[in-house]
Amino acid sequence: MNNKMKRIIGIDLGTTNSLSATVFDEGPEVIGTDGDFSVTPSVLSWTGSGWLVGQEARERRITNPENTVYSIKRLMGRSLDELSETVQDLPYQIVEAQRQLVKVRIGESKPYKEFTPQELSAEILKKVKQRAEEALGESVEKAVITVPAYFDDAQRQATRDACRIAGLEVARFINEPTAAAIAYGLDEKRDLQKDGHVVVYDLGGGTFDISILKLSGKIFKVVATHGNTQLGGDDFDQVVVETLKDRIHQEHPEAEFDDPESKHILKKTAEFIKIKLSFSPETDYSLDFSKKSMSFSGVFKLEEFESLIAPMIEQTLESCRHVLREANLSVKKIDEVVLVGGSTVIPAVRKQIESFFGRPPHVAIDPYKVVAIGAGIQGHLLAGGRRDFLLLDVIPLALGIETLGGTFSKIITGNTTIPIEESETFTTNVDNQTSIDVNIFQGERELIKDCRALGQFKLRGIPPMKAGLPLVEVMFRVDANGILTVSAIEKRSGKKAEIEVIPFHGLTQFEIERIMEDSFEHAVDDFNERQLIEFRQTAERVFRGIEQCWDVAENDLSETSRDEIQKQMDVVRQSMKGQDSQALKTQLDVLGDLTRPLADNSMGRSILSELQDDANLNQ
Amino acid sequence: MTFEQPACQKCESTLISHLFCLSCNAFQTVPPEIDYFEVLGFPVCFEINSEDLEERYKSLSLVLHPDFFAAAPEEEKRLSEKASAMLNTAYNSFRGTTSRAGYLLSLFSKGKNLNERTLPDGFLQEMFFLQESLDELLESSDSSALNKMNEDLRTRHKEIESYYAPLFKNFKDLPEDSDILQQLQTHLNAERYLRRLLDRIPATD
Amino acid sequence: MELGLVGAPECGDVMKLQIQVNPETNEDAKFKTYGCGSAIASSSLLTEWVKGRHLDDAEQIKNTEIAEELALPPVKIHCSVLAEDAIKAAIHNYKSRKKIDV
Ligand SMILES: Nc1ncnc2c1ncn2[C@@H]1O[C@H](COP(=O)(O)OP(=O)(O)OP(=O)(O)O)[C@@H](O)[C@H]1O
Ligand SMILES: [Mg+2]
Repeated sequence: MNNKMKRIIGIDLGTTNSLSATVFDEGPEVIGTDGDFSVTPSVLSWTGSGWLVGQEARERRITNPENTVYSIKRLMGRSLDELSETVQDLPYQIVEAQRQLVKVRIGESKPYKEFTPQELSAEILKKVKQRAEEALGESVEKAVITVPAYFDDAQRQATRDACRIAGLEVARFINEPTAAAIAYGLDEKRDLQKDGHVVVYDLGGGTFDISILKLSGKIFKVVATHGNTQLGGDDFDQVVVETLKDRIHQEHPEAEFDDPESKHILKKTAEFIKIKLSFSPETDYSLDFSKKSMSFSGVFKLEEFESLIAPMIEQTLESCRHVLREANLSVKKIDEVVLVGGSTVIPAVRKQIESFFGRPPHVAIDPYKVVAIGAGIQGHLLAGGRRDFLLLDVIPLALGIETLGGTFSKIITGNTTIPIEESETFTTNVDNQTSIDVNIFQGERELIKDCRALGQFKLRGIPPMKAGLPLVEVMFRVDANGILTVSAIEKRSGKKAEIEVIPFHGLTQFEIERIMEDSFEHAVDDFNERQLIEFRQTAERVFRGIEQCWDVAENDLSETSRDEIQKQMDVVRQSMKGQDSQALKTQLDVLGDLTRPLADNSMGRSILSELQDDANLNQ
Repeated sequence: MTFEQPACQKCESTLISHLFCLSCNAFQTVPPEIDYFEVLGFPVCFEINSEDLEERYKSLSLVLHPDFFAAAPEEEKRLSEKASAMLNTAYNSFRGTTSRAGYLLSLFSKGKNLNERTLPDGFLQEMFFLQESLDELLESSDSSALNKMNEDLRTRHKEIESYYAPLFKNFKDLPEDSDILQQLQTHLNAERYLRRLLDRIPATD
Repeated sequence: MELGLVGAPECGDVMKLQIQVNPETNEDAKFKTYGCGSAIASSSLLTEWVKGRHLDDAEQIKNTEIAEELALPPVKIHCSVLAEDAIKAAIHNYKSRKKIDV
């Protein structure tokens, strides 16, 4: 990378996991410090004065259930109405805020702490940014951020606000499946056809996307996209949770599970079962509700799990049919199928995709990493590192206005390549009318009640004229990020009509600034305290990791190495009791160096071992 | 109408697209009424080879797209976004046979006072009847009858689309004959009714 | 029972309006429209307006009134024209059958 060029990293801001990637001299790769795992779980935990983010937060799910928050991405740009089902399943509290916004409420009684999803998402971004900076040894200011292809304008705007709060400049938003296609398509080692139609099937923790791309030369053109921003691994967990509840009820009819601790335990066990069943035909599980002094164990069979998730897989196939129709293609015309997202590891999902498309899908690049890597490559392009490929993406859903009592009139149709500009002319209904209200919606249905309200414009400053005479041209612009902006001009007078956009789900500039100020104050106050908690937890995790592979270590490590490790563990234990976060960090780093040969990088195994771990703790 | 080869406002070499000079990589100042043929750099003519269209779209995208101007000054960023948007609009309009015919007709019929609402005789009655039959078929979920209807409609739709090229050719020879344009308008109107029907039939695989 | 079958080729809309006349007044009106939302809304508004009105009155309904009531944007004005055409056609059919001079 040349000196003048400022690096633009790629960030996959996931429902469950977030990670960053960039292009190194050796090629594109996930950013992560040696020995430490590079994924940041998208989980936050409130310490009373600040947030813990990532692995440390994830570990507090059971010990600190009411303060631990996950799956924030599902809340982005959504109103409480739209979230009613999701909200019931979540262990943390969600309350309605002004302008159809939602907030996460922390605390049992007043004074509560309340946070917008944008703020919380910003905390995750800050963490990812900070980890990337540590690993790269340089500051990071700009990033390509991935979003689900089926995110609507409100969800994209919310993500943009999160980036602003995190102090990250968004170089570009790109769609997750498209990012994956880039990572595959530009990987020389892979035998993906260079010309043809590629389907990307992306089933992650919270969202499902399906995109069809046409590859020709080095142009990646998205032909059509479809999806569901509320369908993913979380929902698979939830059906297992429901089954577990039913089973427990048979033995303990009076049991209730509405408290945060129970919800977390159930969710965690469900995910454990789900992941186990990706590798074996049945699995044991045990639940220990310590606060209720109740425990329960049993066996979960693959068959049962598969029948539970079958309707959801069918829903994704329905999207596949839809997108093929939109693209005007038959299954036979599809040359390659690429699977992305943790939930595509599930054998039933793979089987169904294979039989639907009549060919085995590509899964070779780690499905957890591929989106981030694609974003990293795109960042490299934007930074000027290469210019030999081009991504042409689309807007997923039509944009338009309410024309009259409840009907939706499209101005930009869905699956149109971006950037795009379209205009529509409005006029007045009454003599001397000087303003017009326009409601903007997004969706694919005929009636606005079935579409998403994005906001309202007020066109002001129209010169007074007879009704029907003014011609106000309203311009809808969707930029290369897929984000809409609007401007207007009165054509007879050439006067720019003023436009005031009132977003229904977004934050105002003022709100963003206030949040940034608040979080800055917090940051200064709690820095040491938070670091101390983080490092102590890291230490405990490292200890558990060491214990787990100590047997293996007997063969791998020399007698002296093992002694050194034992001694250093004592030093760390001593440091953990103190109040100096930096001292603890230094000792931990030494321990990290000593145990490097033990580190294991495979994510699937690491999730498993950690969950296994929690399961053991519960017993 | 003749096709003039325009020159770059900066280096004066011949332009393909009026938007951008491929020789000196300069954005051109374009009037708002620039037409899609000028955007894509094709002569004003109905028949455009679809491979040529794809090729042209790709090569222009590869120089105009905002991704290549991420580090450029604001002004250039804006120009690239504007030019890309125009290119996308023109390309989308030319990709479909009917939309291309409609666009060309709108250029040719300027100041010509065509009746924009003509339909073939008895067509409306037939369309209403077909819509009602479709209602019934959709309700009965008789998939074989539905498939049959789908195929019939598609055949008719293709047939209509096959009328455009010869009519535009005739018009080239007889540019004073507005009646040719009126016939085109009638076909375009009929096409819209067929498309509405087709849009109502759900996908089958 | 009188029919008016009209179309708006701008959008591929087709509308059938039925009116029941007795003796000079529209007793009842029904419509069936295949088309875009604006066309359906225009048709529905029209049928409401013509019910119980004298024929001569109903004939005077202008598309601009419909467009104004529904705040149609310029590109959708033809939907209100469709509704006006429909009532005109239905009344015309009625009158020509009754052999009343128009
Ligand atoms: N081996 C496995 N078997 C089944 N599910 C798995 C497996 N490994 C991970 N998952 C599930 O995959 C999901 C996480 O996948 P991923 O990291 O791709 O999602 P994400 O990027 O965070 O979410 P999204 O893309 O929806 O925002 C979780 O629901 C997790 O439980
Ligand atoms: Mg993902």
